[in-house]
Formats: sequence, structure tokens, C-alpha cells
Amino acid sequence: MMKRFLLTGWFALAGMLPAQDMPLSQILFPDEGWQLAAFGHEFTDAPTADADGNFYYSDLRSEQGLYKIIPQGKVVLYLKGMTGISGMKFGPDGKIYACRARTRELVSIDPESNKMTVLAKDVYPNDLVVTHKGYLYFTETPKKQVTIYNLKTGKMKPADVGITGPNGICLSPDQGTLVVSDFRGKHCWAFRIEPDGTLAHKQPYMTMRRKPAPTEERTILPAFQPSCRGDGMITDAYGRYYVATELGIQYFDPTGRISGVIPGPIGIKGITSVTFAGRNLEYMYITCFDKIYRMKTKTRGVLYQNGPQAYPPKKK
Amino acid sequence: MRTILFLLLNGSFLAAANYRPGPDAQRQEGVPQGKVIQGDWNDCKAFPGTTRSYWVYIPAQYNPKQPANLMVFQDGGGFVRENGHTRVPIVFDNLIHRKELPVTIGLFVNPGSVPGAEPGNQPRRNRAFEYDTVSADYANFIIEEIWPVVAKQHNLVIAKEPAARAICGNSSGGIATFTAAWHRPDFFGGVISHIGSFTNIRGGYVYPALIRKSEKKNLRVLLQEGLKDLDNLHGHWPLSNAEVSAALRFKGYDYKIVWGDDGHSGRHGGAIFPNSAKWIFSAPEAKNEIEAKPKIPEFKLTADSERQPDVPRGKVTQHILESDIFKGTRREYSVYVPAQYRADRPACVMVFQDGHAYLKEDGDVRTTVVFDNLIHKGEMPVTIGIFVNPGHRGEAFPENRWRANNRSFEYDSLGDQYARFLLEELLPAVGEKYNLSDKAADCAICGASSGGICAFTVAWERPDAFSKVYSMIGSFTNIRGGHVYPSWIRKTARKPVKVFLQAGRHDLDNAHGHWPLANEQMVAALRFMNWDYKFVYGDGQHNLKHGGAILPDALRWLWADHVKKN
Repeated sequence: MMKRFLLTGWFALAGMLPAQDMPLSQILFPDEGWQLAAFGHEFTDAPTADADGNFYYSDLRSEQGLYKIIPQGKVVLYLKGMTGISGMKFGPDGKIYACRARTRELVSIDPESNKMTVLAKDVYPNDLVVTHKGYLYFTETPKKQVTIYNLKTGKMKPADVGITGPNGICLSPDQGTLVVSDFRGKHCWAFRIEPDGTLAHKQPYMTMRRKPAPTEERTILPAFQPSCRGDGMITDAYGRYYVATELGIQYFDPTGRISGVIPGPIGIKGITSVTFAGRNLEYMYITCFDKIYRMKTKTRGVLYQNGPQAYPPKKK
Repeated sequence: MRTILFLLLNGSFLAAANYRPGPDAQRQEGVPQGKVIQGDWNDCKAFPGTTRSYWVYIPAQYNPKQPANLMVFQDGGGFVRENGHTRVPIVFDNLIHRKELPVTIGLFVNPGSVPGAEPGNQPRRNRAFEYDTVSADYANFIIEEIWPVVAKQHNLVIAKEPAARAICGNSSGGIATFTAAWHRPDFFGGVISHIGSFTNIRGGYVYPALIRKSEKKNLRVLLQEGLKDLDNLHGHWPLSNAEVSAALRFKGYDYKIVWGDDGHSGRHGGAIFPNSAKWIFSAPEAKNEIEAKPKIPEFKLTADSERQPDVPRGKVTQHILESDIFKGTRREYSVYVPAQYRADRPACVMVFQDGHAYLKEDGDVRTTVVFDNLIHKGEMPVTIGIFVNPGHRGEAFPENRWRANNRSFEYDSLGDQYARFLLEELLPAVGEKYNLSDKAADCAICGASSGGICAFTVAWERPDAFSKVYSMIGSFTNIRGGHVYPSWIRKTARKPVKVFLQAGRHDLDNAHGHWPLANEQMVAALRFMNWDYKFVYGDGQHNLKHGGAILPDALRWLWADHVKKN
């Protein structure tokens, strides 16, 4: 105890506490693995969750609509006809906001009436988040752009341009930081969300692990692939950032340090996205093309639609 | 404990555990005091949006007509405090007054953070990004951005020679000092790293490899490290400092490592700081180290490695394979089929890299003899041994089979290409004649040196195909990047693979790395992540003598899940 005090002491008196380490042992149970949660699809994506523990997803190639997995694990068709969706989240108003990649539309869906409203046309929406203030940020991968759509004013404008393949997008639990994954580069980029919704202080805050790229000639250090195909993102209640990549789910602590890589199940075609769902948001769900898997974890997710949350959560 | 003691061979050891600031870190009567001036740096160009405090210490003896020395401190607030772990202004006042230290200006900089835009929002803490990233960015921030402004503001002139400028820090601030000097040796000539995080917080594990393979830089380095320092997801601090130290030694750097027995604290570095500061600016001294000749024990083979009467012998056949994955290569391989093999039962499989070295019945390993004996006794399952040489381009195979010209590319490269060669080319070729199990639990892989890391790489990439690894004197070094594994293991969900590692304390120390420390790093990482592993550390060199002598033990351990217990 004394030792801990002294250790934190010399940081604390200098005005800085050492960052909290977040090893895999804080996430994974030794005896839990991936469980198959849904199969028979073509291209699953757009995972999200609600406060009742339900998990929602889309099959981009299906003509059916959106699907739901209830906490007990049963798959049901959720909203019929809501097709071609590559990213969605519940907004603070209970509506679903979605990227309809196939028709190049940004839409909102009223789950009560199953009615879709087009918010913007001729966009290249891939994935999105909605803040408690009604700022909707979506990635337009081919345009190398993150776009803000203000739900209150209906106004839309570029929020950032220049990430080579902006794809996944997520918020810190307090909704003060926005993070975007780069499908064609090695970083996840952090921004500060300003009070008016603009994005400031862009930084390549997180560096993803990439596959090796062996060369016949020996180099001083080995070569790695330029990207690991950073895709869908999510945060948990402790402020960890998760990103789906070709090496598995990689996660970062709130100070941007890579802290773990969780490979997907053997034999999958890839992982397009990741989210937390379940009664206590304790299940990590991954969308793997034709299949969905989930794994029980020691952590728990965060629902952006519930508003800003201080992190890490206080112990009960 | 024996493994940790190895670290101490490269440094001096301070046994006192109660590190505290000494008399040089206490105010003495009659000693003039320099000025400490605080400032804020809130319009940062290198790290946009960050704010931070900094302090500058100007000695009482400073005279702008005489260029002074400079020392820059990371986590500056901790170093500048007069009741802190190091108390730099007091130490400098005392040493400069006694003329034991040149007139030295101190610049103390805190790490930045991007404050939240609204109340309740957490700041984006930038310490790890600035300190742990392996790049010139932080050095350039100090050298190009903050120092010129501070120097101008306070009319400070420093000596031109890098040897008159040092940089000092603790933990991530420690690796930051090395990174700064490594990327800007034109500015910094001296490095003082306390409990330096030469680990994988943000890729800093590369330094031992970089130091060994880069042109020597004109740096003087002091490392302080504690035996009880951290062992966490980012790495193993004592082993990593030992690796940096061994690399500096290999490359002939002017360096010193001071070992203590403390943990991750600034106390020891602070206690020795007066001497460290004096040393870092002192004239270089000639080093005269005499290396003792190692005593290498004899590794005796057991009865399991000798032919025994009435033990049926398996058969060995020889083949040649052309590869598509390694285009243009051919290789020899031999297949050992035990006498107990039955075509209607899938046999277990064990693949040996550099197969030629494992087959000689009068050699160091004698695998077929060991297989015959252990299978006969029921101490390992009925296992087909595949002994494959590395690929070779050209008409004839080289006389010395270790010299096959595609060996290093196939064995030392990271990635799944060699695993694909085994699973898509070699095993199917053998499987045409024999009934091989394709369950991971039934498949093992073994190799020595580069073949050792190769065996691990195959199981790392394809744990669904191979679940048992025996690495002898494995080259977990930077021949082609293999030093990355301990870092990857610590931050990857554990794989269902059993690993038996054998290493020798007198193994290689060359441009690629330090084999004993590299194997210790592997073991520490496997232990941290609770892998199923076994480590045998002997006093051997870079050969198969020890690994061969313990082959029966390794096989019994690896195959224990296949043996019925009585």
C-alpha cells in the first residue's frame, strides 16, 4: 500500500496520474470463447444495442430487413423492408439513424411505425454515431470525409477531410472525443468535439497492429502491411476503444495505448464490426459476413443514446 | 530467480533497498541558489490542442557570455520539486557550486493533454503519445518549438556540442529521453533513463534491435533499472532494460547500467542522480572489460536416445518436394513411420525443420531412436515424423544443409507463408501415402535456432493446425523481426498451444539480437499470459547438444495429453 502511494505520489504531485493499465485479463474470462449467434446471412454489419439487452444488425445483401437477437440468444426479424444498411445507432429520441449505403442515403427509422425518412441523399454513408446533442457524424469512406449532420437544424457539412479510408466511428463515454478508424491506414484518429459540433485537434492517437509483410531482402526492422483494414468501432464503459480489423478485435485504453488483440473464431471470412449488447451489455458481438458471434466478457458496453457517462464507472 | 540474476552480469548492482535523496539533494549553507521560473505552453504546434506547464532552472553562476550545458527533463514537474524524488535544482546548485558539474541549465517539461471542450469531459492525455512513440516528433517539439522560445526569453546560451546537452526522464519519460537523443543526436549527446519503458507501450520494444543494426551514434547513455520493476501487458521492464544494455554493449556504446532492487519508482534514479549528472557530462574513460571464458557443461544423452534391444524400429523414406508458395525452391524431406503405425488409424504428426539435423542416429538429437523408444513404451502416441529441410534455389543442394539459400526467408519471416507451405503443400504430399490426423491436438512442430522461431510462428499463425511446439535455442531475435513475439504475446488473447522452450546462457549475441535474453523475454511473456509452457535454461551454446539431450523429456511433456495415466 505504501509503495503504491509513493508511486502514484510522484506523479500526482506533478499533476499527472499514471494511466490505468487495461490488460486482456480485464476483458476475457479464461473459459469463455466465441459462440455462434446467427448464421446463413451474406454480409452482416451495422451492429447496435438497446437498454433491454437486445442486439440489432443488418444484412447488407438481404431483402428482408433488420434483425434482432434477444438476450436469450434467439434471432428474430426486427424491421421488415429496412434494407441495405451498413451502420446504425439509436438516437437520444429513440429513432434509429442509419447509413443506407446501397441507396447512398442517410436515413432515420421510427421503430414504432417502421417508417423510414430520408435525411440526406447522394452521400456515401458507411457508419455513424449520434451524440446526446443531436450531432450525427458519419463516415464517407470514398470521399475520405467525416460529415456532420445536425439533427436539430437539418444542416450538413464536412467535419473532417483527409483520413485515407474513414470507416468505423465511435465516441468516448463522456461524448467529448470522437474516434474514426482508417480502413486504408494504420491509425484510429481522435478528435475533440467542440460545443458547436465541429471537430478539433485531430490526432493519430491509436496505432493498430498490422500483419507482417515479409520481404526477401533483410531490413533493419521488419515490414508490416500499410493497414489492417480498420472497420467498425465501439467503446465500453471504461473508455476502451475497440476496432474490428483483419487480425481480430483490437482495443486501446483511453490514453491511446493498444492493450489487446482478440482474434475472431477460426474459419471466418473477416470481421466487419463490433458492439456490446446483452442485459448488462456484457456480450461482445462481432459481425462476420455470413455469421454473427458473441462472447461473454468481464467488461460492459456503453449506450450512446443514454447520454454522456463519466468513466470509468464507479464500483457498485 | 536464476534467470533474473543473469541480468546482473552486465551492470553494477546496488544492494541498498532504501533509496532516498542524499546530502547533494539537500540545501547546504552558503550555496547560491539558481532561479526556477514556471511557464505554460498552451499553443503547441507539434501536438495541436495540448496544454502543459514547464519550468526553467537558471544557475546562479550562469553568465550569458559563457555557453552553459543543458539538461531537459520529462515529467518535469516531478524533477523540479524541491521535496521530490530527484530535486534537481538543489542538486545542480550544490554540484555547480562545488564545480563538480559544469554550469547547467535545466528545462523541465510536463507531458501535454488536450483539455475537454466542455465541463465533465475528460482530457485527452497525451503522455504516452509523446513519450512512447518511436519517432522524432517529441525531440523536435523540444528542440525546434519550446527551447528556442525559452532560450530567447531568458537570454540563455548553451554549448554547441551535443555532449554538453543531456536529457533525463523516468519510465515513459525514460524511453522518451532515448528516443529524443536517438532521433536527434545532433542536439542531445547524453541520455539518463530511469526505469525506462523500453517495452511495447507504443512500439518501444524495437530499440535493442535498432541499436544493433543501426550505425553507432555518438551518445552516452546511463540506464537505471530495478529488479522489481514492472511485468505487465506492455512488457517486462528489467528484461527490456537488460536487452537495451546488451545492445549498447554489443555496439560499443559509452554506456552504463545501474541495477537496483526497487520497483517502478523514481527513488533509486533520484538517489543516484548527482553521480549520474556528473558522469553524463564527464570526459569519456577507457573501458577494459575482460570476458571470462564460459564453462560449457557436457549434455549427456539418456537411454531413451540410445538403441534398446527388442524395440521395433520405424522406417525412414526420403523425398523431394517442389514448392509453389516458395516459388522456384526444392527441398528434401524424410518421413519416419513408426512400426506401430496402422493405416486405418490417423497418426499424430510432428514436423521438424532443418530435418537433416534430427535424423543422424549418432548425432546430437537422434529423433528416430527417441521416437522408437517412447512410442514403444507408450510415452508418446504413434507419430509420423516429417523431417523437412529448408528450400533451396539452384541445381544441387548445398553440401552443408544448413546453408539452403531460402532458409532464412522461410524460417525467420513473420506471417503465415511457411504455415501455408506446410498445410497446403508438405502435409498433403505426405498425406497421400499415410493417414495423418488433421486435429491440432495431434500435430506438433519442432525446430532449432531459426527453425525454432519458425515452429512457433507456424503455431502462432495456425493454432487450429498445430498445438505443440518444441523450440531449441530459438531465434526470437531480429533476424527478420522475430523479436516482436513477446510484445505480441502479452497483448493477444492466449492461443491454445503448448510451448517447450530450451535455451542456453552462452547462446549467440550478434547483430540480430541476444539469444538468451530473447528467450527469457519469450518465457516472461508466456508466463504473463498463462500459456501452457515449459522452459529449460542451460549453460549451453548455439547448438543442438542440450536440446537434443532433453528431447525425450520435451516429447513426454508435449504429448502428455495423449498418454493414458496408470
